[in-house]
Amino acid sequence: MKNDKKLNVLTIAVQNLKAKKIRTGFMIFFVILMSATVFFSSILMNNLKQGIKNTTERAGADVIVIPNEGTENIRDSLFAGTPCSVFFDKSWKDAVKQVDGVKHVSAQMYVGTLSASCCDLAVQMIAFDPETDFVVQPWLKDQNAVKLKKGQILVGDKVKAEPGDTLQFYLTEFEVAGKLEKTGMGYDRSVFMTFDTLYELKDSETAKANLPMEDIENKISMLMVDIDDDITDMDLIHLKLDITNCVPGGEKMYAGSMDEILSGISAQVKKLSGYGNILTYISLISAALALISIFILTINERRYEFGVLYALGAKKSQMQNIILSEALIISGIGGISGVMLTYGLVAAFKDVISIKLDVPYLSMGIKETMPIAGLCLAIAIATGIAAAVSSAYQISKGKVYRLLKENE
Amino acid sequence: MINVENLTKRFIRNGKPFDAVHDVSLEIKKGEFAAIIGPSGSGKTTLFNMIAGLITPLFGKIYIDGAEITGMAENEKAVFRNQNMGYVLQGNSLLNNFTILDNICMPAYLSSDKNEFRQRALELLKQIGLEEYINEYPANLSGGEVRRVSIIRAMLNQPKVILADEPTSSLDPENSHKVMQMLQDISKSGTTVVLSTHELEYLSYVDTLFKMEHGELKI
Repeated sequence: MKNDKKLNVLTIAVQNLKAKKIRTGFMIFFVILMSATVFFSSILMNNLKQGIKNTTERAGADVIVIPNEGTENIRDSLFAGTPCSVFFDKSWKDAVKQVDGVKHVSAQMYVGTLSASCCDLAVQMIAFDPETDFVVQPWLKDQNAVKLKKGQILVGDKVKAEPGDTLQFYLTEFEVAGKLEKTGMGYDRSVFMTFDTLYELKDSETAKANLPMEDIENKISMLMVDIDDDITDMDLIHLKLDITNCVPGGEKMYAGSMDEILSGISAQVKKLSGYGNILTYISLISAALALISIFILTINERRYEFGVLYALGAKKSQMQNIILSEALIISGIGGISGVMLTYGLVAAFKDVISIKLDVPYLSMGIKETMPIAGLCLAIAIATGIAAAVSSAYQISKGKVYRLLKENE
Repeated sequence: MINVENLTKRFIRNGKPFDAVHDVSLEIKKGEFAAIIGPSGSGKTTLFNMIAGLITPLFGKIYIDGAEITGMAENEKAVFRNQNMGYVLQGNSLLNNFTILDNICMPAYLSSDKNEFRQRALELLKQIGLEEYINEYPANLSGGEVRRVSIIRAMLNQPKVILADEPTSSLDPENSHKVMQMLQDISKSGTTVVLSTHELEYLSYVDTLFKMEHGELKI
């Protein structure tokens, strides 16, 4: 005999599904669509939130001072590595340093490149002052990064260059002294250097044409402020006001924590998350309804088949189990395929997705994605069970002689 | 073997009560080949479905080999039907998604953990000369072959009773004779066979006749 195995409820269900390949394929497709949508949107939202968390945790300064008009540019650079060039007068640094409650102040300069040999897109050049810096250097030290000399740069994780390579920005060459570990924020698409190194751009005609190079030594982009340890939250509010008022024209200055600077992004993420959730629910409900409808229609078509089984001595519970098994197989295969397919695609095109959707941190680690994958699978299976229960009910409530009449 | 006492089944038709089977009593002995005849709509299939436990009567009792099936719960009836009765349904009642062998074995799949029934299925198929079709699907069989395979399926669990509802309907005379001969052979081997039919030309095979008219038994 060709097949010696005894059929049971599960194998009967498998056989039924195999016999109607197109119908089964359609149902699996709906589940794939549903689980892929839920998985992708959940992964995206999680990573956006994680990106904000990473940026906030990495800030290293209690208060950040930036010009009002550059707030969004700096925020996008910090969060997503979108290159920007922001400048304000270096004299602000001395004024801020005098404010009561301020312990340390260190200046940074943000200069966006036009394009770079290393990268598909422009990168962010971040210059810091080794004498006063308390933000970048401790972090570099944690990574055993080399101490930068003039002309040397450190590159972020997503910058395609290795130590020993030479990178060219504004037609000026810089030696890559080291590569930094992944941060999950804008730093991954940035290059770090001292102010001395940045000033080498003064000789570049391209830089002169695009940046205020004649006065560059008197410009900065951001002040990182470390405050006294005994400052309370209430005092901090006053301190930020004092900082904004400490220089003439202080109304042009913004002083805030990294949390506050990123609050715009947090709000956007919340909004996006809301839209994402709505889309997810719509997709979930549509796929579930489609699946339930197909299942009910299919089962209605198969009433005679169930009538025959009943006449042969099948219990109603056995028929319900056949329907349930079919639904679970479809939702299980669809759910797993949807998750795996999405995982594979996102992992393969991570960089493209990251750039196109402005998601700086896109981790596809098993630890982070497993709970989401589990949730998607659970949703897919729950949908399958809902479809099976409604279909099984159709069969159970039907009188058997009516099921058998379908073929007469 | 089969005792039917004052059986009545009432349906609602056009909002009015209608007795598809009215006060029917009959007795069929072990190994007897009985036929219930009557025109379409006379209540044959309803009576069959009640004997098989697929429909619950409004009044009356049915005993099969001493067991009162009218008093059984749904699951009990299913098990009883599976173990003691073989039902040959009207028309093509084979499941199209399954091979001939799996179709024949289906009653056993639904109940038994043993595997010997596959050998029995093969032996039964050999008896009717269809053993080469074990791995074919019903769509590849002729109407007569499908009907004979349905009878084989009804015999698989070695039931005490075989109910065959219009087993010769839409078959040519040659195949009809083959089917009737098969059912007669089964009854001769000791299994009670009851068939319903409106085709009177094959009644020479049966031992006992019951005639249904307007839901009532006339003979």
